[in-house]
Amino acid sequence: MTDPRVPLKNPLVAALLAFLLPGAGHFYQGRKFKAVIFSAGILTLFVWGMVLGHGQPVYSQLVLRSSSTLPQLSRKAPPQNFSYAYAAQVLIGIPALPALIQDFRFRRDDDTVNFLAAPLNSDFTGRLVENSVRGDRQRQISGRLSIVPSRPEGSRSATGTLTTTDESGQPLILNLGGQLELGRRVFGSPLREFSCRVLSDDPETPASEIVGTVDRSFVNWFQAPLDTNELDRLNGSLSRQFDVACVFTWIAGLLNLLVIWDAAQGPAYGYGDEKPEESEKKPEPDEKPEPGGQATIASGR
Amino acid sequence: MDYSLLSQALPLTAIICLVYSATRFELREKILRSALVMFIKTIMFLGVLYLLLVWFSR
Repeated sequence: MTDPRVPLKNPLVAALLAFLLPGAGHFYQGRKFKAVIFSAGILTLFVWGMVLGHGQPVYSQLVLRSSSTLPQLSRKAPPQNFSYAYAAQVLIGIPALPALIQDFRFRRDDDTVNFLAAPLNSDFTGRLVENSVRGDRQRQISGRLSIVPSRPEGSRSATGTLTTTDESGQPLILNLGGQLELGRRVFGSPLREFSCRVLSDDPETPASEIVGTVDRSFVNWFQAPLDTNELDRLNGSLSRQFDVACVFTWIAGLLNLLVIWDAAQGPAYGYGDEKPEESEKKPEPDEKPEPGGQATIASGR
Repeated sequence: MDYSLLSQALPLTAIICLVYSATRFELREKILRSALVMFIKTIMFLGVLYLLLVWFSR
């Protein structure tokens, strides 16, 4: 039974508040010291994990690759597996709930694949692929991309430019046009797949295209489902740090489970000032046992 | 010794000990004392484990 000195108020409301935000249930109950410990400790751990993982350790679904097409570029919604780690992360409440909203948005986002809805101005990183009879020639390029859809309401073709530098470092502007490949809008990576043909007036110039990535807005990648390609990229760039980031977010969620329990039922071991029971006290060495005890032992009770 | 790991392991252990102890008791002094004892025991255990791993990896 909970110590009557612990002010639980409405335990269900307290537990719900503790789930939504660590420490909120205890603030509701007036247990301010513990509320500060829980909110500061658990939220610090979670935010620390998010920072270490560059904002990507929390996701509810892992997108699977079912064909040769990258999941980002798959017009049909790719299959997904539930991320069991999310079962621990979601226990922290509101900070991890955007993952569920992003999963909902991801499943309804098929129409955005290879479709440019509005003008796009973004940094581009990738390679310039020149197709010639002697074979493809590639070189790394990066620059500023600016493209507009062929129709104002959006289309699968676009025109624009890529401002970059040539091999000697001189400024170079590439004219782009035609059908483009553009990754789906909502996906768990800040890099959005992009490729487009490079236009040239000179018929002697071999056909070429740019293949790489542009920026995806924060609202569209934060806690969104991601694929193993993105996980490989994260593990490659962050190495052990990404594993530590994930562990921090799991532990934060699991600790909040204890906090929810404390908000609903009170402290597990009691108030903290309880004295040990008389029967648990061991007899002092110079104390002699009572005469009745010997008879009790002899009778086998 | 990997100091970056230490800078993550020590605060992590401290937070776990503090939050866990706070869910066991209500009195402030009891919570802090229990957390400190748990933290020291945990760090000592992890330290012994680390030394064993260093010894066996030679």
